[in-house]
Amino acid sequence: MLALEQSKTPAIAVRGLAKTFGAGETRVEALRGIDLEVPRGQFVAVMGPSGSGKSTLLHLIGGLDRPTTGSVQIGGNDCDNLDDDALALVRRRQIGFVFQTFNLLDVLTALENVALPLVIDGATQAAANERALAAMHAVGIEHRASHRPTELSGGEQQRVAVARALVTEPLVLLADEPTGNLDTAHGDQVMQLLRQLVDERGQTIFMVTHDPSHAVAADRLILLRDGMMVDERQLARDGEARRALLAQGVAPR
Amino acid sequence: MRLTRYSLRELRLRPGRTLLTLLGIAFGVAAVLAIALVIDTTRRAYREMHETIAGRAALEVVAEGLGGFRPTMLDALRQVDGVQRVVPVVQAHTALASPKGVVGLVLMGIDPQQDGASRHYAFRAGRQVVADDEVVLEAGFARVYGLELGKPVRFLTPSGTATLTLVGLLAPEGPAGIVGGHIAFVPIETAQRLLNIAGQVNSIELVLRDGTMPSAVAQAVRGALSPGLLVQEPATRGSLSAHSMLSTEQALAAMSAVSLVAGAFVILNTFLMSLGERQRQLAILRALGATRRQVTRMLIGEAAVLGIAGAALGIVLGMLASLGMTRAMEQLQGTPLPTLRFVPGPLLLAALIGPGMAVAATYVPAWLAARRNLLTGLFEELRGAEPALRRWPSVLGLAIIVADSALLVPILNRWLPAATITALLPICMAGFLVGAMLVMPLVTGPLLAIVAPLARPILGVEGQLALGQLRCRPTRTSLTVGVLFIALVVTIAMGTSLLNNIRDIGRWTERTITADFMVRSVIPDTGVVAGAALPERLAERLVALEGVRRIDKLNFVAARVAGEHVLLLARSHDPERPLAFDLVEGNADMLRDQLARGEAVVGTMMAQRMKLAPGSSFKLDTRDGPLAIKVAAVISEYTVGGMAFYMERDAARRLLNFRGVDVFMVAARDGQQAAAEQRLQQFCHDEQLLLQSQADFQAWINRMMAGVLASMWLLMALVFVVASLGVVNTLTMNALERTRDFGVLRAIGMLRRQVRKMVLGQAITLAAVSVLPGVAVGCGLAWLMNVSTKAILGRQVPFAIDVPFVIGCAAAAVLVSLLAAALPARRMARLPLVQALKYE
Repeated sequence: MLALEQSKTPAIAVRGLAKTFGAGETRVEALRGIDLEVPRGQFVAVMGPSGSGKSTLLHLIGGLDRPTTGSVQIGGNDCDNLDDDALALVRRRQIGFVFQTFNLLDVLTALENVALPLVIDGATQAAANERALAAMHAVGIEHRASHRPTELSGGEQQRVAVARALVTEPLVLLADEPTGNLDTAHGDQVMQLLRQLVDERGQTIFMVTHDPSHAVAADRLILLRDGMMVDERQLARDGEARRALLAQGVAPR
Repeated sequence: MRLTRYSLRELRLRPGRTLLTLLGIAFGVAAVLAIALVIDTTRRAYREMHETIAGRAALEVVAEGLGGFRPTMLDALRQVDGVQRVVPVVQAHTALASPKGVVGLVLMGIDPQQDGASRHYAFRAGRQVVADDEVVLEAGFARVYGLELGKPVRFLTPSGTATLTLVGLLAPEGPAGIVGGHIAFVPIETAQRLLNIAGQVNSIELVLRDGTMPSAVAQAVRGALSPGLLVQEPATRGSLSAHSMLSTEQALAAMSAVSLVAGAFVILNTFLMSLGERQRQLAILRALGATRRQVTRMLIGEAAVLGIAGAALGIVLGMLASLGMTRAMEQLQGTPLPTLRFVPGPLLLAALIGPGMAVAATYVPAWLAARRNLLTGLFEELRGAEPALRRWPSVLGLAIIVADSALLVPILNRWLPAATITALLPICMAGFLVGAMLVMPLVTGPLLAIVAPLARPILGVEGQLALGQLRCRPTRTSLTVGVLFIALVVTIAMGTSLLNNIRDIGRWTERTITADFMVRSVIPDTGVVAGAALPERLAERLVALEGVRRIDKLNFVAARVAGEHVLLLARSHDPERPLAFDLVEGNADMLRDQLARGEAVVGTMMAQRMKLAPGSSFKLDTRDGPLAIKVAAVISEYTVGGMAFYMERDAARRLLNFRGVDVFMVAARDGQQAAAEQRLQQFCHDEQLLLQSQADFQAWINRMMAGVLASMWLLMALVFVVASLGVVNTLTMNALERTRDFGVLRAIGMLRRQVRKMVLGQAITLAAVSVLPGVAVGCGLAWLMNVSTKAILGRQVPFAIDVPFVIGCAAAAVLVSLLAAALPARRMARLPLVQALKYE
């Protein structure tokens, strides 16, 4: 019964979210009251011009920053009043991050990078490695486990980053321009991987992107402008519909 | 959480920085350990010597001045409850004339029948003394000085030259194992004859029954003693040496405190740089869910690991350094010291100091690093310029300086006991240094602004760009300036202090040693300054030599004032020459009359300890009981650290028992110095005596101090080496961080040599900025050390800044900085352009 209720709770719920930077003349309103719910298993893409507040929204949802006003719930749990340690636990267990610049630690091997969130959570290195290998297998990068990030291509590094994001089986995977540093072929591969995660594992993904060709891989598209949500639509799942969407010039680029 | 792997990889990935941190810790630990071990060894030396000589005797009865007395109370002592055996002995310093020269040693007059109960003798060859004119020596000592069993051995004694037969050679155990085997055992009657104390002894050793408290027996023994005699533990004879060591120990303690601060600062410097560089990695860990506490703990753990490794390295270095420093102290003390013992106390302290200083230096930065903004850590584009410097460390630094200054008030006014002042001074010095370093970031900016107008005219556009890079990274810049600053401060402060002391010793020698020549049997050891006396009648033969006008006599006499061991220098004075005193307080015109009346001239340390001034008096324990002695003047005195007083020799002889003459001071006739020297040389050669001219004496003092001075200069050089590693670190970091900028500059036409000039320009600017406060604070600290010693020694060494030395230190800072910049400059100049432009 509880599990059923939990499954009905949205993975992400955002209410009246606002974020202001600076004060006086330098005051910038990055977000101006965003309301948003993301059901479990949905793939959401957020687009918008530079400065529209996409990354800020992602940072607030991911607990990397705190809102000026408004609230963020992850899996029905309010994150607003959590102290720093509790917020770290939310990031550790319920959120997985994929960054544009991969953010892998150069001093660790790919396997150790993937295992890191588990090690931080107190798992033994052996147990963490086992799960990390499984995560790497899931994203097709296990053959590069013993390599250092500097020895991997951009696409491979991002796969490792995705594996790291998935290793704790988080409720939400947050991706910040995950293809921004990749060439088209590798970018497409990463997007296929993300799509696959949603389709096969029911993974909730919240992705910020500039690229409309990658945004159409999502189930839902949110458009931001000047810190406000200006459009929101469900995306058709067939290729024809997506091509139509692209033709309409959804992407504000 | 097991993030150790990540930490260790970080350390391995940056071997240079890890090595620098290790050196910083090892340097501090080594200095503290070596100094602690050497101080322990020198303190132990005299205590152990007297304890070992005394063997099983827990107490001894001696006369004031350690002179001879008739042992009439032996039966009464045997009756005292707890006393098992009473062993009368004669113990004195004397000289032995060997085929390889004259050597000083302890002469023990023993009763061979009874002495086995008190001391252990292990014979390598021969036997114990039985008859008069027999002597037993330590086998190694005899071998070194070419003395053979069954052959005669000549002694120089107050009764003249005596020839004894060597009948036994001892293994270096028990009393024969002390002071490098410089000890001789003769029958008690022989010793009495040699020392001119027929029927007298100068010590009665008391062997107590097992389980008896020496203090209780001492109390009972006191009742059986006549005036002028006292009962004491044999080890207390060594307390005089503690005074002579005090100023050296003081300098070493200050050095060790400063080394610790310098080491901690190097760790702080490298750690802060490392944290700056690892901002993104730490933010990733936090983004992945590591708590602040986990990150803090990981960083502290990293520091602790380095601390433990640094301590291990430091302990090894410290042990090696202590061996060298012990030799230096032996040279200073003029006596062999016991084998260095690696006692657990200093070793434990060193083992704790390593990780302790590493954790202490890194705790706050680690704590702050774990609390940094996550987003700015993750996204370089959000980072922008280096955040403004935090003001609280500078405020804390100012507070420390103010608190330190407040602490100095009671120290400088001598409101606190000397022991407290001795303990507080190194803390004060270290505090002052820490405070000054914390204030550094506050002054670095203004100092850069001062040198800024010079950058373009002197170093061209490269200089201007270099300055810009330094200004971009205020924290890193001020940290590097701090490392050079500390090197300069330590070197200038310690060096100035050393140079002032060397000058003062030279001046003191000049004023105090007015005789043209000195004749003695051996050089006494400087710890207890116990002379080996020569016969008085030698004076008549000396004065009869061609060119000799007058002979004055000097004796070193162990005395007690108000329960403290002090040294009495009993001497006669040449009426035709000014009195040989370096006067601090008193009337020079009246001094000769005052001395003739039996008044005393006291050393500053003694005056300070006993609150004496001209006109006041002190109670001297004499053979007739305590007697008030009036103070005529206070003088600078280096003998036994100033815990000494002078009296006219005849007046002193009326109060204390001493025989013979320790030093004959020879005044030559005007214009006949060369002739006198020639005759004296012949005389001393024939009699196997030691002749010293004023220049010889000065050279001897210089030789004595050379080892300790060399150790101190070496420590200072090490500080500079560590500082140079700090500069390498900063310049490499600056250069690497600006790789893309260098790429762009090269792309738009900057030449390789211009790139080199730019990095070198940074080095020069860093040095220039650290020289100004470094010189100012270094001179300030030197002055502080100078005025503080007054509180301990009772007088202030004349203070002077040695300008060439200070300029040399500043030049060394610039040179070190330039040398440190050579590698990063070369690296940046040779950077492949495409790679540089892509550098992140």
